[in-house]
Amino acid sequence: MIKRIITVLVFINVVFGTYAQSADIVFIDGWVDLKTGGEIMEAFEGDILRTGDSVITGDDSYAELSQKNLSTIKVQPNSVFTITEKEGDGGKETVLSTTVGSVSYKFGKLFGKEPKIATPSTIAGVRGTEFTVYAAEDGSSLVAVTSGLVTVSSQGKSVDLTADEGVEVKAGEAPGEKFTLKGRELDFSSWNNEKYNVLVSNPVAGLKKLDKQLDQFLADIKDYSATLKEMKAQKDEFIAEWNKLKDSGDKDKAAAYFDKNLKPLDLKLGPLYLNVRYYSLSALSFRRYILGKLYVDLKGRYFAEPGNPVYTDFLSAYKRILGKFERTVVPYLNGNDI
Amino acid sequence: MKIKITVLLGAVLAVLLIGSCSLFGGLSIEARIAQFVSDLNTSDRANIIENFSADGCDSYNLINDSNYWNDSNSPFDVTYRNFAVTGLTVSGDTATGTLTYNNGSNSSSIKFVLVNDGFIDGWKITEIWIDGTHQI
Repeated sequence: MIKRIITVLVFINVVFGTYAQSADIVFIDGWVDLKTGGEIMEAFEGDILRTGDSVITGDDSYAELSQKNLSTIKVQPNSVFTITEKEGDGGKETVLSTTVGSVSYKFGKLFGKEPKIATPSTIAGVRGTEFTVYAAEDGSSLVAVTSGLVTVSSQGKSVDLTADEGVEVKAGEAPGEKFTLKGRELDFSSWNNEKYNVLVSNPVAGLKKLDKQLDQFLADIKDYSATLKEMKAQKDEFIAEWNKLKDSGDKDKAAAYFDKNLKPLDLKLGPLYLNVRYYSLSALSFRRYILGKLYVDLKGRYFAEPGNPVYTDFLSAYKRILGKFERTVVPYLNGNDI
Repeated sequence: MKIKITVLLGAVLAVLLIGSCSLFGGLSIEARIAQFVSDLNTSDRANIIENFSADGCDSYNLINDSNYWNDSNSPFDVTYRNFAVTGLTVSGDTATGTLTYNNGSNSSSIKFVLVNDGFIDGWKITEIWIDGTHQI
């Protein structure tokens, strides 16, 4: 029996694996958007999805992607699927991310590093298996396994899933009790609607959970940017010393100093900076597709009663979150991203 | 009738002309790397991203960022002087050579991976490795 293991780590940052760097759009039903390089355009069969690009499906649209004919990715209606990239211990690593909606994966046998799958609340490593990831608009995730083995871990608790089993992970919580699929396909739309209705019934409480989700991205940005800051401070010191040596006229000594101190630092600095960019773009995606959507929806719902305490409390909490976003994330974004 | 034929011939000639221009418009691997190095040596690196393939470079969105290029956040530190690539060897879609900078005082091995982005653009960069580490 071929051992198939998937590990899903919830709310824990792990080293992502590398596998997929692009995907071909092989089938489209209805109008599907392709977001690439800051522009949104209609997607067509034959388009290639690269790192940083997103496929966005609407109410009645669907897209199917293929990676080197070894795997299939099915993006169900009302979903946002993005290929992202970050720097891991072993080099560049690609992450297939579902910001919201439902995406099914079927991976063939692969060589090399394992692929990683992400939702706003989960990270999964996969090999040779078939499963579906659901990401609800309230930040919850659900993993349903068709074949293989999945270990879902969150908040220090782990749940093993085998074929025909699933588990839900609510925003900011440990995995719930696993359940049996019994061959039935989960109704993502009903599950998501139920989640979303609970969210908007008490938007301030819901926003707190989303805030916790966003905090995960912000924590990563802060961690990496703190290291970046330290390294740049160290670089400034090295540069000052290097300049002194150059000014003294001892070119050989200056060059040797550069090779010993600045060169190795620079080689680490570049990937580190791009990691900060990766988490910043992930946070932007979360804000755009989850927080932004909730804001627009509530604005419409309370259009006739803007003074309603539920709405004003929500707005107050929302503005606080945006402030945090502005301070932590925006410095690493630019006009091309937005 | 004559007018229609003239218009048709004109259109065909225009298409052929545009087509032939495109055929010779794209940059070769060597020319693309030379352009990249030239852009590295300008004070404003606003156009440097044009050397990278938007479709082929996995880090494209991450490096489409002026802070990456116009600051000290990478080995291509904007304060380092006179970048050059020497001893370039091209094999398929990969080019290797030596990156020198600081007026030739310092050097690193450099590897470019490129993709042909079509007749108009020619070859564009998808990956850069310096001293064996994946930078872009």
